[in-house]
Amino acid sequence: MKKTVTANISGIAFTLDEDAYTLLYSYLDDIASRLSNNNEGRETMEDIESRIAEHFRNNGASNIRVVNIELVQKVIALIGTPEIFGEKRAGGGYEKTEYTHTPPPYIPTPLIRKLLRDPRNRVVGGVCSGLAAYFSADTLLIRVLMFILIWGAGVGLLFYILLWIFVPKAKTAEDFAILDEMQRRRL
Amino acid sequence: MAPINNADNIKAQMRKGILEYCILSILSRNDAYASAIIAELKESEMIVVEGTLYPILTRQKNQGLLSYRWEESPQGPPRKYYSITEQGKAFLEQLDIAWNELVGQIYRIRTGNDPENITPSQK
Repeated sequence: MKKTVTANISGIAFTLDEDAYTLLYSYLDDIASRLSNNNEGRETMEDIESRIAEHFRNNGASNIRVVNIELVQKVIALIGTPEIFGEKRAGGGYEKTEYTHTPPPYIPTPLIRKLLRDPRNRVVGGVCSGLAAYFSADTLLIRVLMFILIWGAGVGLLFYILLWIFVPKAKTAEDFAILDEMQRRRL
Repeated sequence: MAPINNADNIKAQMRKGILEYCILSILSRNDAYASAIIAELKESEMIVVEGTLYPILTRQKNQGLLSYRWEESPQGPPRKYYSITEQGKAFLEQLDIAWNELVGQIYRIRTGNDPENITPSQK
C-alpha cells in the first residue's frame, strides 16, 4: 500500500504515488530553472505540463487510476531530460519564478453517451456500473434495481446475461474517459 | 570509458539548427497539433525527444510565424492547434531559398565542382 498525492497538472487533477510525485516535481523544477523567466518561458512550461497531462491520460491515468513512478519515468524519457532546455539560471526553479499557471480554457463539449461495461468498477461483469454511467445515475441504485429484477421478476437474470454478453467492455483510454465523463455529469 | 562520438554530436547540432525550418515546412502542408508535428519529426528521425519542440513553437508564435487555436480533446486537456501565418509562409519561402543555396554551396565545397555543371543524376 502506498501514500498518494493529488496534483493539478494543466488544470486536470491526477493522483500520483508519492515517489512519482517527487520525481515529477524535481523534473519540472529542473526544467523551470532552465527556461527563461518571462512570458515565453512560462508558456513553454505550460505546454510541457499540458503534454505531460496528455501522456498520463493516454496511459490510462484517471481520478481512480494512479500515476506510478514507472509512468513518470516513461514520460520523462519521451519529453527529454532537463538538459535539452539549456543552462540552469542562477536562482531559477519552479517556486522562484512567477508561473501564473493559466489553465487552458474550458471548452464545453456535447456529452458522448456510450453503453460500456466498466471493468474497474464491477461485482460480476461491470454491467450495472456501465448502465449507471450511461444514465449518469448512482451505481448502487442500479445494482439494487437489477437485484430486484433478477430475484423479483425472472427475466432479470436473462436481461443481465444478455447485457453482459453484448455490451462491450471499456478498453481504451477514450472508453474510460467517456465513462468518467458520463459519471461526472451526475448532478 | 568509450570515446564520445563527435559525429553524433555534430549531427545533433545540425538537426537542432534546422528544426525551426522543419516545423514551418510541416505546418505549411497542414494545420497540426504539437503531438502530430512531433510524430512526423520522429518518423523522419529528425528528433528523438519531444521537449525541444515546445520552446521553438512558442518562439515562432511570438514572432508571428505561427498562430494557434484551442481545440477540445476527449481524453485530456484542451490542445493547441497550430497553423502557419502569411508571415510564416513568406519566411518559409526565404528559408527554402536559403536551404537550396546551402545545398549548392556544400556541394561545391565537397566536390570542387559548381552545382550548375552537374547533371541532375549527379545531384
